[in-house]
Amino acid sequence: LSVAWARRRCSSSSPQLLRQLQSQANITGNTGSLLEPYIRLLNLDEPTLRGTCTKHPVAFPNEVALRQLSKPRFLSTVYTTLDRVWHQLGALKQQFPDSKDFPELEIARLNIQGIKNNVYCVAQLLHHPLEIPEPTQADSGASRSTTTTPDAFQTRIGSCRFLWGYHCFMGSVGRVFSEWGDGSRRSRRHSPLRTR
Amino acid sequence: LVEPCGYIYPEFPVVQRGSNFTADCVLKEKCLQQYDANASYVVWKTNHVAVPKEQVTVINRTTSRATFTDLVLQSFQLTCNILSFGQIEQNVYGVTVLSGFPPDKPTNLSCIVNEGKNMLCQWDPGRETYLETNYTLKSEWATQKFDDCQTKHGASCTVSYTPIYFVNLEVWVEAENALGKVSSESINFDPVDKVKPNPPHNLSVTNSEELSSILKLTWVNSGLGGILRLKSDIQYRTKDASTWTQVPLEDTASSRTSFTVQDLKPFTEYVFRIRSIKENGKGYWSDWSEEASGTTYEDRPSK
Repeated sequence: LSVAWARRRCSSSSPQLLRQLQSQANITGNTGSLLEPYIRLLNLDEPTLRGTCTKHPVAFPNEVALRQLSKPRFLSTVYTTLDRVWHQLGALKQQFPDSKDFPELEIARLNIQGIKNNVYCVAQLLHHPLEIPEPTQADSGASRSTTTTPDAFQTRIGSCRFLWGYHCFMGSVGRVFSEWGDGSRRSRRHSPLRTR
Repeated sequence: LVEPCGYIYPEFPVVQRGSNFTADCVLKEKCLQQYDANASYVVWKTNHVAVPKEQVTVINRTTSRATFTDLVLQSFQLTCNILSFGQIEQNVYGVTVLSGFPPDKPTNLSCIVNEGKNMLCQWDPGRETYLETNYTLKSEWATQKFDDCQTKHGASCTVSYTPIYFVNLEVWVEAENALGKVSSESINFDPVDKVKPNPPHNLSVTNSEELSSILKLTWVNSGLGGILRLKSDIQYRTKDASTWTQVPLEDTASSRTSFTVQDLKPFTEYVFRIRSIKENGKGYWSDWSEEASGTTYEDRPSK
């Protein structure tokens, strides 16, 4: 599928794309969409355990760092980070043989693919196309398994921190995009996103 | 199985209705000797009725051709038979001839996402083709293809994947049968703009002792678990009336979960129903909620 094909499919309206990205960030930044169900499912819903989970979010680019990036670099960082998250959630799926046990996980993965699509399209509009592999068939399901932690509890806490980090990251991404939308942020090293 | 003495070509004829059609019956050499016959001894039949001789041409020793013009039958049996030893009619081969039309370009493609369900797309397939026609609904993002949605019953298809909102989807329909293949125009939309929300629920009506002309409604909106902001359409009637009164839509144009209906008659039972749609008006109205009723308070006796 050529870049030209993709350009034809991308929305050509940057205000619409930014609105969509902000809506997506609102959904994915909401811990109720993934972390809370995970905590309840894995019986971590108890103050000390919750504290262990949310005290040390797994390393994601923080908001300050994200704001320092040029728009193209920001888009590429979001894209590659979400690609990593998508694969790690694929590995997390293996803890739940029956997807009905944790339906939010699959919806989260689908939403991530949706955000990546929109980020790709914004990059097109910026004329800084992202280097991505050939577009995939929907949810090829292949998942690169992460390193297995020594015991079940550590695995749960590790996954919990990862999800918490992901939600925080998406919250930051949403805030950056919202400033793109109202043009209040002039990035240093490139032309502003031309709104139509 | 007995090896046939010849074949009809084409073997699986599908012909455009109203057009001309020719078929060749090609006999095997060993059968010519076996039956002491050749192509001039061939008798063509359609549904067991002999084809008039003027429609039959002997091409060579082994090949006889039948020609049909302005074909209108939807399907018929075409057989090639041979008069062995000049008199005993033996069947050589038979095919079913189908006639119909290539698919029209599908038009009026539209899609709806009934809340909680997968997206359903519908289209106008155009004229009847009289042939088995496959319709394939294609849907793609800029960076991802989704599974095709296939149907033979030409007017709608429900996709197999969960709707993902806030991403533009390109959708089109491909129609194909033995006589041709054609694609509809594609439409590009965000599924969030095609939602038909579930109806509002838990509609309740309460009256007011202070004001006998009002009733207060409260309800719970659906709307994808809060992702959608919905506006409402409220109608009411007195218990025995048959026509509904409409609350002006501009009064309920913003997202809300309660509303006070005014200017009602005191001490009268009213029935209410409500439906909702996305606040910006995109998508589809939900079905009406279950009706709920309430009675206005009686007027205070004037002093």
